Amino acid sequence: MATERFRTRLSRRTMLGGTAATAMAAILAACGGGSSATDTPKAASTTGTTAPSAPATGGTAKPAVGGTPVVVEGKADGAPVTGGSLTIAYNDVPTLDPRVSGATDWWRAGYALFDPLIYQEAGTLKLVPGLAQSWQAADDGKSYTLKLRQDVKFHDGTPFNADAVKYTFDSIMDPALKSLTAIGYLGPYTGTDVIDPFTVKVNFSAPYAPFLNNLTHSVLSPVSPVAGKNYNAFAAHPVGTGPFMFKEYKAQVSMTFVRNPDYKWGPALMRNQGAPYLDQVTYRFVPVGEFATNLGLLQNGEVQMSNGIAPQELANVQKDPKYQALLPLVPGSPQIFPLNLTKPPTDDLKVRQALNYAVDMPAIIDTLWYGGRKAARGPLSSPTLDYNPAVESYYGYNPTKAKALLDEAGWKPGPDGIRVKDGQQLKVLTIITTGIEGKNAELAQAYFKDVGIANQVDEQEYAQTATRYLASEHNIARIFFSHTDPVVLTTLYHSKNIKGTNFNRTMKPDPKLDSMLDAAQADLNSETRKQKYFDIQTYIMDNALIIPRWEERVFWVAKTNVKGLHFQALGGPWLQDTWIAAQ
Amino acid sequence: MPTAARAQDALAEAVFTRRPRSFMYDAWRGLLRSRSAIAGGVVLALLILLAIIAPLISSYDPTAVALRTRLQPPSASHFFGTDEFGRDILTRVFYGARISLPVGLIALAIGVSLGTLVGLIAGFYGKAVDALLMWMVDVLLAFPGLLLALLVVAILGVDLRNVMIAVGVSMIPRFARLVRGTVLSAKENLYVDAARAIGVPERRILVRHVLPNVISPVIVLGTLSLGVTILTAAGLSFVGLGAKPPSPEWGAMIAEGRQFLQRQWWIGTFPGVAILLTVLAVNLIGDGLRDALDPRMRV
Amino acid sequence: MGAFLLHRLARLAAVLFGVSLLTFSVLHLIPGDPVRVMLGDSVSGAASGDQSQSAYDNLRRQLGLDLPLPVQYGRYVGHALTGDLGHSFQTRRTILSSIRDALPATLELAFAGMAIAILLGTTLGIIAALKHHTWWDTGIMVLSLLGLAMPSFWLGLVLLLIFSFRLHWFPVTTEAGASAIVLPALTLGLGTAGTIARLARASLLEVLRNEYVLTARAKGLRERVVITRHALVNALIPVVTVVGLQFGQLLAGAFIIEVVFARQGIGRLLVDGVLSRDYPMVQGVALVAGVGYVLVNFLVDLSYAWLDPRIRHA
Repeated sequence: MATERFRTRLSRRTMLGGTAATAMAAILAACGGGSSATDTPKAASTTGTTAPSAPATGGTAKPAVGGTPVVVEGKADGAPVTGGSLTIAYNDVPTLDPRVSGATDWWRAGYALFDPLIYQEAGTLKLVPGLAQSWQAADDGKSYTLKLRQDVKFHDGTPFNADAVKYTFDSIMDPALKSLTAIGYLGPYTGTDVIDPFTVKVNFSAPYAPFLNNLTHSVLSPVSPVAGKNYNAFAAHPVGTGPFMFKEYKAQVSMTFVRNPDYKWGPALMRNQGAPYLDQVTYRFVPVGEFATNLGLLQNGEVQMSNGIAPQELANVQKDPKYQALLPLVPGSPQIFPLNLTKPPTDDLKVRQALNYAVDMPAIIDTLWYGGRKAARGPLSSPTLDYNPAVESYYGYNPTKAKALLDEAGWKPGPDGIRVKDGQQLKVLTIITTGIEGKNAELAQAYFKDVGIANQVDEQEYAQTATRYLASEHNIARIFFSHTDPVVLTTLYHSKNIKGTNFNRTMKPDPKLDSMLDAAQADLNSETRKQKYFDIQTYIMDNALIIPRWEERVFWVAKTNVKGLHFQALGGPWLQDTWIAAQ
Repeated sequence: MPTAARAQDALAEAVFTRRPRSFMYDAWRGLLRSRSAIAGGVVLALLILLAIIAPLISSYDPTAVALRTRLQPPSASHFFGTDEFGRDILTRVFYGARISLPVGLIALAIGVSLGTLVGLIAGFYGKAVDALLMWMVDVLLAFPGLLLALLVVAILGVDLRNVMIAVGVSMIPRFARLVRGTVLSAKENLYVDAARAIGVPERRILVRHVLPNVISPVIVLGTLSLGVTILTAAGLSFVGLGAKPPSPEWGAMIAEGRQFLQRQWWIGTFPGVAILLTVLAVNLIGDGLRDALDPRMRV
Repeated sequence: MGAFLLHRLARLAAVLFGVSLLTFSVLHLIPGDPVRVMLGDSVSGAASGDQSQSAYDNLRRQLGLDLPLPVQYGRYVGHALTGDLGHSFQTRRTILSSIRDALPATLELAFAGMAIAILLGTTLGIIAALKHHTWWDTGIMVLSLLGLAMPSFWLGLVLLLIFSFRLHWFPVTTEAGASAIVLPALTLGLGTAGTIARLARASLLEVLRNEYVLTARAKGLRERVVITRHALVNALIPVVTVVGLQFGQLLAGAFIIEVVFARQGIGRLLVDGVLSRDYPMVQGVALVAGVGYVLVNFLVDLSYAWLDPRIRHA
């Protein structure tokens, strides 16, 4: 399959300028596809942290943008050193209360302060005991019983127990807290029964299969019931059970955590289950998209690690022995172009299919990300639970097929190359945010034009795009959602999310898809549930509801002497195993 | 009088009222006397010419993607280098003049016309009308320059057209105050009293006898303000509130170049030089014009 | 003085009323739905759309958007008077605490920029005047013209590239001690320095032509004494006035410089607020900046009037 894709891309070379980008696409195609073992931290750490390279393709056309395969886990060589502090260039985080937060950056950083009840291993998505030692779902799927660790204390000295878990969940449901994400993750939550001091039974009004996966998310981590009472104070000074304790937050400037010396309940997932090696972790806030500032900070030694380095720096960083480039994948919905099924011409299945065939997305993604991302093929990213590899046989770059489909749909080539039907030109409108998103749309525009589709691209701020999506002005929209559980498909494709949240930007209610999603969400049997999600994924591709774009990664750059970096399923670093080696 | 208001009046004083008939003649003579104003005029004319004939002198497309020539440093085929999508920076700078110059001019036109209107009405009708309009101007003055423009963009939404309006609105107070002051002094002139005495309608007095006095100072202050509107509009685009990529607007180009600052310095540097030259040229002409019309204020 | 003060206070109240009205209306003049914007798609992973819809309704109620307009305005002013500017859509922190954290950094930048502008501007202006009709004079005047025409945000990038990224003379972050303020302050101050230099030069040239200077010279006083004792003092009076007038512009200019240097400050709060449509933040920063600026101007006016009785009757 990789070969076939490579050939189609080569035919594209003349137009694209036959460069680096295409060669990179080949390399990624070779190591991409499916949940490739090289992308899992386990495999990476045993194979010397690099994915197998593709020398054949890499050799024929020397990539100017770097041909080194991406790495997802840092080295952990040498004896760990205790002490020292790590400074990370990072985005400013809004509230610090995990129960409230809706910001990916806080979710990732929050694991340092809060232990989740259940940990999840990136890549395998295996569940690992955290503050809960074991768990059991009821047969009807409407309740879960969790057995808790008995040796855990919050940073303020409050003992961790069943009451703390009950308090955390109940407070999330309190409207006064104004939870953004956690409340959604609790789903049809009705309450928690304290069975004994270290056993809880969490109840739901309906079967709720995603619950255990949701528990691995930092937003559902238990908070100190004493400190948590005052919502405003807690948002400024969070108290959890994690390996680090909160020290201070300075808006727009930085946030600092210090070692929790009493920590001894680290999960099996970590190499170090005791107190962390680092004395202190400081997140130095840099606004989103300030690539030059991030690089400057790293070069000047003002930070040792950053997730805000420009994509075009990937090859430079990979070449430079002073740095390590680490790119953990983020599961969930990949970056996609949802297509509007209520607005012509994308109301026509043939047009939507033609749009999918018309773009060489792998080549575009390589151009855009300089080899740092791989093209997505379906509605779920490959590291997501229940990802269906069958989506990879759908579409792919084939302009001939795109033209044939448009011919079939009655769109005939017009005088200026743009297709015409009933005196109307074939026009599609992309509404998209600025930056890399916008550039993605600009690159796709040229491909659409090749098959006779006039594509207008409106690049606007997030807020404006959101308003216009809801008004159904778009043919092509954008969205991305991180989540390890395929329940994310409900968020993006269920008809109840068209109005209101408008996360479903296909805009058209589909009762069949709704019932498929509802059934999958209620199914507790992992095998039958998997089949249901497999079918949903192919259904979405059969109906061409989206054009998949790229699987999201986080581009981390760290000084080489930052050792033992490995990552959460959400893409943030586990700082527990991290130490700074002497240079 | 509030301090900010005094600043506006200082500007008003800086441009001295003259008899309208000889205005064009004086201005032209004065400009020709000033070598720096001539230099400014030549540079500006050249920039406008380049903007107009851009398609003739460059074979490159300012927005089309050409990945073959991605991120190339300045060379014989690309004097200013190329950007991330292989677009020729020099070509984009030329095309950018087609955006940045009109944006500055339109913003100025909005500020001049609304400000003049407000000043005329306030100055001529006086009393409650004056009080109300000047209250509004005082409120606008409570937000110094850029802050007011930011607020207007916040209300209207992020967009280049809205930036023009926003920068225009932020220019209203200075013209309103200038015109009002000029009208107040013109009203004391004998010929206005005379016109009124013989029963000439108010509106006619305003248009025939008061307005001409206003033209000369407004043109001088307008020329001196064009640099400000160009800089402010570019600044708003730079922070992401105006023109959007792939538009070759200069401020937006600098913002894009910023992501490539360390290794591809040329992407953001040349559009900045273009702004610098344009504003310099406009300011030189403005200085010359002011000197020509008001020799007292030679600075 | 009493009547004067009363008149001034009435005018101040009118302007403050207008400022509050303008900032209040921000939320109502905007096109689109602020509630939707606040929810955003950072509400990622929310498994149930029903919950998101109820969150939408809750938020609308919390913002009081379902109340009649005059009631909303009354609430707005009442809250503002007690320091309650609401919560940021984006960060959930109170607007007041965000501004309190960021304001010192902005003021620091504005004052540092002002200091550079005054030092550089007057020095260059004096040199230019004393070396009138020399290359010094011409060079300084060209520099000041360049300073005025320079887009500050671009100058900031150039300085950052040369002195921070290449030469490593100055840190990139702003939290790295006193040296971190140098580049931003220089960027901010250069334009104003140009204005001040031109003014100081013109003013000094004017004074030097005056009779008392000629008299002093004629009396045989040494040139240095003439200049320092007599000329400079008189020449700098108009400069001081203009410096006061420029401060508002510098403060606003600091807003963009903060963005260039990724520096803490209320300018970034405002720009980020506009970009993310965080309307309470936009309203809060505009209100605080506007009211602060008006009050400072008011005090400056009062002190002028106290110093110079003629103004009271103007």
